[in-house]
Amino acid sequence: MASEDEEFTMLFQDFYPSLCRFLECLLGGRAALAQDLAQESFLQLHRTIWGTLPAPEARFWLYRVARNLALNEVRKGQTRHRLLDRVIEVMRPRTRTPEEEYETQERQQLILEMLITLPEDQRAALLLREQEQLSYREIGKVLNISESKVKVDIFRARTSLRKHWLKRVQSAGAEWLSS
Amino acid sequence: MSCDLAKKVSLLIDSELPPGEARAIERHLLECAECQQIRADFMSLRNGISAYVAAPVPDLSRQLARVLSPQENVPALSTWRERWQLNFGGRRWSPALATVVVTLLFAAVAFVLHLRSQRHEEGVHTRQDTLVVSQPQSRPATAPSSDPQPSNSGLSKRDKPRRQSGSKMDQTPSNSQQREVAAALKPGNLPRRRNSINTIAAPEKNSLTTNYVSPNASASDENTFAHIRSADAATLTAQHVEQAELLLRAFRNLRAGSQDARGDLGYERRRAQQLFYQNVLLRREAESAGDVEVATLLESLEPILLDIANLPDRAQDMQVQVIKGRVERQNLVALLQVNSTALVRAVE
Repeated sequence: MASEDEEFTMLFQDFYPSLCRFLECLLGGRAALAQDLAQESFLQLHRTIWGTLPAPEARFWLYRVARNLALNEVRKGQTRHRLLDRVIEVMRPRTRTPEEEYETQERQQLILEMLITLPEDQRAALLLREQEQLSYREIGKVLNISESKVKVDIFRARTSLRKHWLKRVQSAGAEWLSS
Repeated sequence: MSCDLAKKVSLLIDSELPPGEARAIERHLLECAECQQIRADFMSLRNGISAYVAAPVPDLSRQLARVLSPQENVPALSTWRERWQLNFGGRRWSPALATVVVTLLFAAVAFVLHLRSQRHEEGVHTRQDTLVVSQPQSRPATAPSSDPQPSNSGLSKRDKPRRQSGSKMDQTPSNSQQREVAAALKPGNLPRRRNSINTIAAPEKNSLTTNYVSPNASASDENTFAHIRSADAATLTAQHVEQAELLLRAFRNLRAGSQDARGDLGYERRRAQQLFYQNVLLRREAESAGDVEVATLLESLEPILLDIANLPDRAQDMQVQVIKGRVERQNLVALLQVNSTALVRAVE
C-alpha cells in the first residue's frame, strides 16, 4: 500500500495539470495565477485534511478549494477587462507550424473570450463538465450546489456560448469550430 | 430556440437523462433539425473547451516538492492579502479598522517623541514664543478671575488673574466667560494646586494649577511663566485626558432604560460640562503651542463632551445611543487611553 506521500504525489501528478487548466479557463487565461492557485489548493489539501479524506473525495475537495480561490480573483477582476493581456499569457512554446499555432491560439482566444462572458457559477459548472467530465452530482458536490442548479447552469452556459459563437460565426464566416 | 427540448438535449449529451427519456429524445432528434443543430453546436463547444491547452507547468517535481516540504510550505499566493485571507479563514478585516489602529499607534508614538523633544528644548532655552500667558490678547479663558481668595487657591500675588476687557472668546475671554470657566473648574474633585508657582518644577500629579491663566504677571516674569506654563499644560492635559477617558467609559457603560439612568446621566452631564471647558482651553493652548497631536485629540473630544453636556434632563435612550455610537466609531476611549498613558509618562 502506497504511503501517504506517494499517494499524494500520484494525486498531484494526475490532477495538477488539469486543475491548472480548469483554473486558467476560469480566470480567463491567466496561466501564472492559475498555477499559483492550483499549487495553493494542493498545499491546503496537504496541510489540512490529507490523510483523512479518501482519494476520490480529495479530487472534489481540490476543485472546490481551487474554485473558491479563483472566485476571489474573479471578483477582484470584475472591473478590469484585460482579456487581451490574459490571452497574451496563453502564448505557448512553438511545437507546430506557424499556421497551426496561429489557429490554435485563435481558437483558444475565442474560447477564453466566450467563457469570460459567462457568470462565474455557470463557467465553473461548464468547465467541470466539459474538461473534467464530472457528473452533475459530482459538480454539485464540488460547487456546493444542488444537482438541479447544476443542470440549469450548464444549460444556460451552453445556450449563452452558443449565441456568442453564432454571432462570431456570422460575422467572421469561420467554420473551424464545427470541424 | 423554438424547440422546448433544448434543455433535454443538453442533458442527453451529458448522459444525465434516464434511459427512457434518453431514447425519446434520440427519436425526436431524428425528426427535429433545430435540435440536431443545437446538439451539434453544444458538442462543438465541448470540443473547443476540452481541447483548450493550458500553459505548460514548469518543473512539476519542483512544484510538488514545494508542496510536500515542510520548510518550504510557503503559500504560493503572491499578495499579502491573499495569504491573510487564507490563514485567517476568510475573515474580512475592515481596512478602515486596521487604518485606525495603525493611526492610533503612530499618533501615540509621535506624540511621545514630540513631548520628549519639547521638554528637552525647554530645559535648554527659555521660551520666547507667543504664549497665551504673555499675550494678553490671546489668552485662554481659564482665569479664575472671580476667585475672591487667591491665597486659598495656592497662587501668589503674581497669579492673580488679569482683568480683561471684553474681547472675542477665542482670543481674550471676557470676565463673565472667565468666571464661568472658573466656576466650572471649581468642583472638589479638581483640587487646586497649593504649591507656590516657584516650586512648579515638580508639579503634583493630581493637582490642577490655577496659574494656568496668566495672573498679573510682570514682563520680567514672562519667561518664568512660560516655562512653568508649559509644564503645567502637559500635566493639565494628561489629567484632562485621563478624566475624559473615565467619563466616556462611564457614559459608555450606561444601561439603556435603567431606572438610575437619569440620575447617572445628570452626573455625566455635569462632568462633561466641566471637561468641555477644560478641553476648550487646553485645545487652544495646544494650538498656540503648535502641539498638533494634542490639539487634534482634544478637537475630536470636544464635540462629544458638548453633546453629553447638552443632553436634556430626560434624555431618551436613542440620544444616548447616538453619542455612544459616535464614541465607538471614533474609538475615542482607546485613543484617550493611549494618549493618557503617553502624556503621563512624558510628564513623569
